[in-house]
Amino acid sequence: MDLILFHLKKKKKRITEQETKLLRQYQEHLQSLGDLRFDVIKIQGFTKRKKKRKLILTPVGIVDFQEKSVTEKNDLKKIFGDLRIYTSIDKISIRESILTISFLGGILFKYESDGNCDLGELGNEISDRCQKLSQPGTLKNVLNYSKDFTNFTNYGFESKLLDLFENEIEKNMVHLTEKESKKLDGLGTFVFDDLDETLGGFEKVETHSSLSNSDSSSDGSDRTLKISHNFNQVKTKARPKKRNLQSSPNLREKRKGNINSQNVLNSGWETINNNENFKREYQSFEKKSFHKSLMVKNRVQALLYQKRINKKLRKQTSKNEVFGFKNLLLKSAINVAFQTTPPLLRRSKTVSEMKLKSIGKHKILKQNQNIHQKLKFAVESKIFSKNESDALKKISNYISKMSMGNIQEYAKELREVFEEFRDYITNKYSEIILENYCKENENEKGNENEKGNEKEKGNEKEKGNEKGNENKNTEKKKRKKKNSHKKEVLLYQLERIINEILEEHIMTKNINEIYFYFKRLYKKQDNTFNQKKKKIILKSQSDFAIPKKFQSTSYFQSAINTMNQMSLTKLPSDGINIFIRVAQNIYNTVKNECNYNANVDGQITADDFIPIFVYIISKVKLKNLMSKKEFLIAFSDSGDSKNEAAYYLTTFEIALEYISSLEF
Amino acid sequence: MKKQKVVLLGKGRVGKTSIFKRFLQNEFHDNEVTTIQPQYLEKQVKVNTEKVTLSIWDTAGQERFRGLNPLFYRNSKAAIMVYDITDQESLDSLEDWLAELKNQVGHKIVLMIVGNKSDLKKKRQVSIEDAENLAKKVGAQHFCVSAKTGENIDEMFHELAKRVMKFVKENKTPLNTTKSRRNFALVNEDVETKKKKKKNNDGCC
Repeated sequence: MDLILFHLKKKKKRITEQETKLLRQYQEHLQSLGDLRFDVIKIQGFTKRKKKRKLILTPVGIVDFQEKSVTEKNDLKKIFGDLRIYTSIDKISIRESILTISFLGGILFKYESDGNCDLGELGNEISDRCQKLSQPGTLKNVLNYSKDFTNFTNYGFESKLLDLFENEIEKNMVHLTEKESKKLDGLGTFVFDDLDETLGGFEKVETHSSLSNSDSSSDGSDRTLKISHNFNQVKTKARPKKRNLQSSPNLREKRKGNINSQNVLNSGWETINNNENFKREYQSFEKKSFHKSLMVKNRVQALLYQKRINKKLRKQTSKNEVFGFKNLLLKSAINVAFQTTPPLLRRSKTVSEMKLKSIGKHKILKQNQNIHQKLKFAVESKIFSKNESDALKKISNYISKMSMGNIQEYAKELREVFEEFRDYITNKYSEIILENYCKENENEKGNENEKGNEKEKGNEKEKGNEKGNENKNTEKKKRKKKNSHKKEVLLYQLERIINEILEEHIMTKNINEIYFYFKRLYKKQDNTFNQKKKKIILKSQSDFAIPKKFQSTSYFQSAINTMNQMSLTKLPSDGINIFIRVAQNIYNTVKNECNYNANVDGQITADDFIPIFVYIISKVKLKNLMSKKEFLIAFSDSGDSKNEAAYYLTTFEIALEYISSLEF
Repeated sequence: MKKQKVVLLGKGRVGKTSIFKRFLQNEFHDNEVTTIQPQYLEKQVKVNTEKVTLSIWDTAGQERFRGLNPLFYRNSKAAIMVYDITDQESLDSLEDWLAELKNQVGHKIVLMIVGNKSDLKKKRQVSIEDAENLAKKVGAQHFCVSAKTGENIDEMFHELAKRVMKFVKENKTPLNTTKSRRNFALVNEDVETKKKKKKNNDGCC
């Protein structure tokens, strides 16, 4: 079933005759576009008390169906034939549907019963549908709907769009650098070349609609475009009043509906084309800020840049221009939607950089980090060689075909595929990599030791060379022992590293969707857990039965902060690594702050550690801990969960279940 | 051999972690590569030229968390039950642990019953016979150990490693047969065929 949402006016309680007419016209209009079926799936509204909340300011609309009387429901049913009503759908799913609409021009979204949607097939359908979407009407919809997609955060589809978006920008950047040679001559013209095509799309739509609805052509075209202008109005209300006054004349005209929508739009584009200031700003913006952001290749930063620049532009230019400017950016996303499917993506750098910074404090961990990086580099060079690239492609193809209907089965299969591939690679390359690695290390250490030995020799030459020789022999023996011990540890590290790499290069595609599923599945548990957590929040350390030896003066802030970083992580391996860091933070704080001697009192036992862990979780700001837990468990190694990380995962489980078992 | 999971059980303040620490101190010196945490430990033990890595998990003995301890038992191959020689209650409480273990872990486990603080012989309250009877009942092995002096600890872990090896060899779980279905299995074949081709080429040349 295909999906479309309609705009009914905001804050209206009843559907008037005019609006029913509108809807009918719109339906006919859409059906004339192609062979696609359309249904209204969701009509939901915002109540009065939610004034503060940001309306999702798209032309998509939204009236609460539960509050409606029976007759109105019937009216709607008459209009659309087979209506399917979904009452228990979250806010998130609304956004999601909106974004899919924005993505595909108002078509394509699959729902199963009870609001569980089948996202797995979406990816396959996208490519099929996109070819059908060459018709002009859809382009218009994309431009209208996709305006606000940057506002949606914490949401899976956003990243998908952004990925597409980034890639397209990269292409544009290449384009720019070529043109930069002609700096002074051809500035500005090339940017707007493509825009004409989109505008052409607009014109075609209007003509098309006029043909199809010959009786009510003028009303229909006006109305459909009015929708887009309403959207502007609402936006201005959210801003301070002064700006409202500035833009008021335009808006009033639009409200009256006297002006042809086509003219309004065209005037907007003309102002852009004529305004040289805007052109310059746009170019400088593209060159400087976007170039930087691309150098970093960081999604988050790219978003930030966008926001900043939007702010600047709002001050200096009128709204029409901003509208056009946004569309310029979005145009790239649309182009991709029609051409390609998303390629493999790397995980964003922020998280790994954060890791490096926070971990860099401890010397031991620094050494580990170096080893980790070296090994990772070695493994990556092997995995992405010509032989294995086919294997990787096969895996990614296989995974994309798997259905995500039942998530936990999906997770199982994914994990098994990973483990299989990991075993395959460890069998093949582990010895080679380790040998190479050990050789390098020996060379480095050997150089250092030789230097040291030469100095010693210089001093001891007079005394005799025997002592020096003895020292050498003992050192060699020590080295051999160390190396043999290290190899075992390194083998264990290799498995983890391969896992991480696989997750980075294969799971990043779907990770948002998968996690989104988990959130939805365990929503009830999250809510009940949060309610219980609220009651504990204010309790002190002694209430959790942390003995006085281990009570810290800083209230374990460092551990709590690292735990809060869980919200930044997306991949399961990152999430699990955070537990280890939390544990290390706890040990450090206990060492530094508390009246505690490891020699006298003995080491920290699990008896002392778990209450501290519970205390930390009660203070953490995360809201979806239970779903995160299930997510991590589903994607951590099943049978061989005997790592250090697995230990802390179970302590995490225990802490969560302890809190949820509390009764007041 | 892959890692085998071992769980340390016992009442609070019996000396679980001190046994832990002693076992760690005797041989384990390299702090460079693995960051040693006091609750989790990995160690290789040699048994007749074969190596086993034991990953030993410390658990909470307090009664508040007792209901949640079964989460620790998952996939564990062995359990070390620790009691205090100078405390009769600690031995009695072991029976509760054993009942829990049987409920939670369906299959058999290698069990060790260990009496700690054997250096305090004057304050002994638990008779050796009681402990050994209990061990016979359950099919466990009994050891008297002192974490302070390091008496018997290495032998205990050595014995444990032996029994775990035996146990794992006897109860080998069948490998997953579903793996062959997957597309990815083709990759291995491809590589092998490539190798064969190469060999053939060599022969021709």
